[in-house]
Amino acid sequence: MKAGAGHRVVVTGIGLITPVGIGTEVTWRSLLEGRGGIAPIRRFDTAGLLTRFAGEIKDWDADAFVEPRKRREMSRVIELAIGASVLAWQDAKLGTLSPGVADRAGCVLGISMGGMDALETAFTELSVHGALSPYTLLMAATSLASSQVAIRLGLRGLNYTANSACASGAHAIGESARAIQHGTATLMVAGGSEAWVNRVCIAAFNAVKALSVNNDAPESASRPWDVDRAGFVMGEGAGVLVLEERTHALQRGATIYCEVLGFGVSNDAFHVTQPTQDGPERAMRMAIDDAQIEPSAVRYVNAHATSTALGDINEVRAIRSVFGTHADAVPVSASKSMIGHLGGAAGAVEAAVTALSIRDGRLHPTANLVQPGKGCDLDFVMGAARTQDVPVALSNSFGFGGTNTSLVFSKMDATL
Amino acid sequence: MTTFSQIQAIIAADLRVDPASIQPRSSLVQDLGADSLALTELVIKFERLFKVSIPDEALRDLQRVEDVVRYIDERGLQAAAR
Repeated sequence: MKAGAGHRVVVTGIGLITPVGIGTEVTWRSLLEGRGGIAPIRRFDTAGLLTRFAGEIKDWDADAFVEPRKRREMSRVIELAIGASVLAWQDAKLGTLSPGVADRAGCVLGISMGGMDALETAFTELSVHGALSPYTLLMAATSLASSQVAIRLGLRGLNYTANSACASGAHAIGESARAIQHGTATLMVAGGSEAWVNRVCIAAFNAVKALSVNNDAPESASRPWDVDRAGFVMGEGAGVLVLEERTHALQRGATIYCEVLGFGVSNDAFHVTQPTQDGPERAMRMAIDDAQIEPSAVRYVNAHATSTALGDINEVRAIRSVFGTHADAVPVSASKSMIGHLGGAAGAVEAAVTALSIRDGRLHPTANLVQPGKGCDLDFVMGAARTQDVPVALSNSFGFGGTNTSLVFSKMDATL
Repeated sequence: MTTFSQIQAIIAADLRVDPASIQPRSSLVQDLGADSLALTELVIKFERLFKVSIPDEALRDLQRVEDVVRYIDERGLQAAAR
């Protein structure tokens, strides 16, 4: 990350809670095997909703991560954020920080819809009783997730919530990396969480016709780039990375997944739901430029690819424009084909998937991509996982409101 | 059900403590671990169940479980056992 030419940033821990598993390796294995987690919704009554399926987390036991009496002040999105953060913290083999490090350790989480489920309950409670529980605020306020993580892990530095719709998780990681680069922090717990599989959010996204309504075949409804794609599928979950200043990580003997090499951002400044090609292009170019590499150095793209008609083709065109003739030599896959769209957590989970691709030299397939739609002509990883050295990879995340982010990760000390 | 047993059940569920550990002499804050938010939440639950009003001024005197029982019994409003 060249801007400011400051400290280098590495990834030393990953925590994932997704519709295909609780834990990083279980999620990763499922993705590599092409196994998805989309199914009819079980957690609440879906009667009357146009979309009645999603990627729900199975066997979630919040008590494993949160003291039972503290759960009263938390909505699901906060519990998931704590769960993924604790997993990442354990993975990084971090314990209690010394006071000096703790003051420069922070947490930034990307959350978009937040505690909408708590508000849903609150409106009913208010109309019946005329007053609310003191916990309503703590459950509904999006910013409380990063605060709750800070309390548990003893992170006494930079702390806030990033909200840029479906790019939130990527923004959280990019800005956290910047904070380390510029010296504001030495260590950051960065990622995203979303628990938007509830009646209000589904009805709201149905209203803008963004969701697939293929209730007859939920498991194959999320099909990025496929000719039969017809809207995205909601998933819930959280993804958290531990980012660390490189020297700090090396000195404590941490296991390093990869380096955060570049971060690019842009806004379409055009329309709230309709994307432009120019916005994603500028984000990718900025990230590649920030990484101080040529586009041809990128060997894998984990695409935003939500399975919508317009968004998918738009990203394909933007990738073609940025990579030129090299575009045909860059494998691309879409994690959303198996876990669905994790909203504010999507960019963080997919950044983690990109880091794992670099670590293992493995690219997961895009499930349900059988016949690419017109104009969708990149080198899609489909059918089965691919084995290939990945020195540098790029992960895209875009959101409503025309917000765009790109992150570039590389192997430690890769020859570029 | 007595007022005490009803209060005991509410506190046990809310603070996630063993009902047997909730005695008349138990202090809500010191023995049962309620913080300011938890106290506010408990008051709301007592008010709704017993149909009483517990103003903030009264809360200061409700240190122990028996104080709450007395406050509610004195107002003669046993919860309707429905």
